[in-house]
Formats: sequence, structure tokens, C-alpha cells
Amino acid sequence: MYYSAAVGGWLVTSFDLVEEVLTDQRRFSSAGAEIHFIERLDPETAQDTATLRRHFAVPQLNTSDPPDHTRIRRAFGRSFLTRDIARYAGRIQAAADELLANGLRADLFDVISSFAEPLPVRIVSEIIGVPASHQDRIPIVTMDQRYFFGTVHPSEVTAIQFDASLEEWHGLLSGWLRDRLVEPRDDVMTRAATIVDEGGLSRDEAIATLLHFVIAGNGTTTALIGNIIYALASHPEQLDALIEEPDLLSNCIEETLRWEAPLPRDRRIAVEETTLDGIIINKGDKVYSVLAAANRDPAHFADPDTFNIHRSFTTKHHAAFGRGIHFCLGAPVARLEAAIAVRQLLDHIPRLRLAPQFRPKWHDISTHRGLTTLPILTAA
Amino acid sequence: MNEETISFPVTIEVSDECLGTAQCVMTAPGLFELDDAERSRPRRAIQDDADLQRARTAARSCPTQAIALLPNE
Repeated sequence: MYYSAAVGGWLVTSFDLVEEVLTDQRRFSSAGAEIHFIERLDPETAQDTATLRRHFAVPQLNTSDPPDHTRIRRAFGRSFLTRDIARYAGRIQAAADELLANGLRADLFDVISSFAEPLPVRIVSEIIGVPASHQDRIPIVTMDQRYFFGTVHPSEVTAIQFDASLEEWHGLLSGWLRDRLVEPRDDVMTRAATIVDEGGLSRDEAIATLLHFVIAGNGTTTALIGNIIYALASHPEQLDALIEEPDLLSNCIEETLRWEAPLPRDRRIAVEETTLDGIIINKGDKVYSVLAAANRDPAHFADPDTFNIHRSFTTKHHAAFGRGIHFCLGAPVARLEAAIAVRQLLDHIPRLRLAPQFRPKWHDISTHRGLTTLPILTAA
Repeated sequence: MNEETISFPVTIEVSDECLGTAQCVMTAPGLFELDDAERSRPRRAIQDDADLQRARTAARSCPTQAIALLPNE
């Protein structure tokens, strides 16, 4: 671990230390981490971004500690269990098939924009309850948040744009929550409306948490699907092994999560002066757990830089979904979507070939490890 | 050790709030396991201070705070 003046915080890179930070919310808090970031805006921009400030001052799942966090996690946890999201498999498959049928007519297929982006947007919308009429707003607010928190010094334009998006979503979610009380549906929005009605959650907490689900539930899965396809396309021997033995798919997903974690880092704030690895951390210091680095810690994984879909995760888990109380709530959804998406794509194009002259261009931000485009050839 | 092993004075209890995220299994693999319904249960009793430390970390790591460490009567 080391202090990065450029980032303005500690970067924790070894697996054991990342685990220590993420499993001790008494020392390393999630509450107010975003507010610390917002407070660095210049006074004028800060004045123009009141919604942003209000939005992140409200406890939601990833910006809270117990007891708030426990209350919110208990309220929503049951909506995302593996056995409960299995019922979406048919709809994920139908959406994947439709996107592939449309996209594969051309000679080149951009896996990111034609497949890995729209698929999770549709599925998260269905699970949460965002109507089809507003699904095109999801990538916008997702991108706004990603660039606001993923760059060290976000520009005034980025901040104001994000603020406007948040205001729009507060209005939308507020209206949908009201609708659900009158007309309940089978979605997470209805669950949120019910809990608010029963007094278990404030309306602002429900709105902030639902928006967090919408944002966290699409871009990360986009990156995961793209990263799997890219890893397989650039490792033909691994692709052959998977085609030969389709049951390796779930392990291939875990290996990609390890090898290219979609969310490369997670942030905490030191609650008090503490030591980590014998080094003194001051109260209020930002501490970034670099999940992507922990996943390639040679003390934890043999041959960590090698992409190997046979790697065993039965005793050594990767850190891509985090650790401890903030362990990714949507992990079962991400795994299910990735499995169906990759299976359907390989069914159509078993011999993945990247477009000639393709050079990977990754999003240049710390909150998202994903490709900007991934063109593959559609001819068999 | 004789027949009457002195048991450690703390017992692990997992409540109905458990949602099977397996954070306890990841932080203290010998002490916890998931059952067929994907619910956590203690794999064995706490035997010493090292176990107790790991059980505490597991309890702290639980997203729904479903693990309690109770002193034996």
C-alpha cells in the first residue's frame, strides 16, 4: 500500500490488506465517502449542484455503515438471491437473442454497444421497474456518475451534468414510487414503496438506493460481458477449452472477474487514526481498496497475470465483488446475465475473431474497467 | 485431553436474516458453511481464541448482521 498524492488517498493493493479494510467498517467507513469527494468542488460549482449534495448525503446501500446499512440491506436483500432471480433467465435469453439477431446481420458486431450495454439496461429495468419509455436515460446517468467519481478532478461541466441527471431521476423515481402504492407490481420499486409506506425507509433513502441499483446494475455487467468476450477472443486456447467443455463457463466468468475486475477499486474513509500494515492512517483519510490489484496478488493467486479458465476458486475467492458487508448485492444477477449472454453469443459465433487492426481502448477512469468498443467479425 | 472437554464459553448463532452471501465462509472457512438452502450455519464450535477472532471478523462482515456470538450460560 502507498499514499498517492495524485489520487489524494491510500491505495491498498495486496489481497490480505484489501480484505482487512473491507471487513472492518468500524475503522474504514463507507458513510460520507462521496460527500468528501463532492466537497472538493469549487464553491461556485458546489452552489450549482445542490441535488448532488443532497443525493449523496442520504444513506443508501453503498454510502452507509451499520445500522443504516443493515436496515437497507435487509430490506432489499431478498430481491436479489440466486434462487429469486432465476426467474429472469428466460427474459435475459430472449433479450440476448433479439440483440444478436439484429446485430449479427452486419459484417462487424460491436459487442459493447450492440449487446453488452443494452442487455443489462433492459434486465435491470425489468427487475427494478423502470418503464421502457425511460430506459434510454439509464446509460446517461450511469456515465455521468462514472465520470464524476472516476476522475480525480471532475470538471464543472461533469458536475453540473451529473446534478441535472440526478434531479431528473429523483423526479422520475418519486413518481414511480407513488404509482406503485396504487398499482403494485412484481418489481423492486414496489418493494421499496411498501417499505417506505411502512416506515422502514425514508422516501429519499428509497430513491437513492433504487438509483444506486439502476446504475450499479448495468455498467458493471456491460464491462464484465465485454471483458469475458475480449479475454476469450485474445486467448484462443482458452476459448477452445470452453467450447469443448461448456460447463467451464461459470469458472470462466469467475476468472474474468478476477483477471479484469469491472469495478477496479472501492473507497472508504478512515473513521479514526489507525494503522494498516504498520503504517499510520489519519482520521478522515481516503482509503482505496484496489480490487483489481488484490485479484492479481501473487501471494494469493499463483501465476496471477495468466488468464486461465481452469483456475480453481473453491478455496481462494477473488475480490471483484468486494468483501464484507458491502459484498455486491447484485452478484447473482451479474453472473446469470453474463452466463446467458456469453453462451448465446458463442452459440452464434463459436470462433470469436476480433476485427482486424483492433486495439483495445479502455475507459480511462478508475471506477470502470471496460472496453469502449469490441468489434468482432460475424462471418463463421 | 480427558473425556470432558471444556467447551469455549462462546456459541455462534445465525439468525433468519442470513441471505447466504457467504461472507462468513470466505472470512472463516473452517467455522462456517452454507447448507442446502444456501443458509449459513456453524460448521463446528469455537475452540480457542484464534477461532473467536475469526468468528468476530465473520460476524462483522455479514451484510445483514445475522451472526451473533453468545456467551454460554
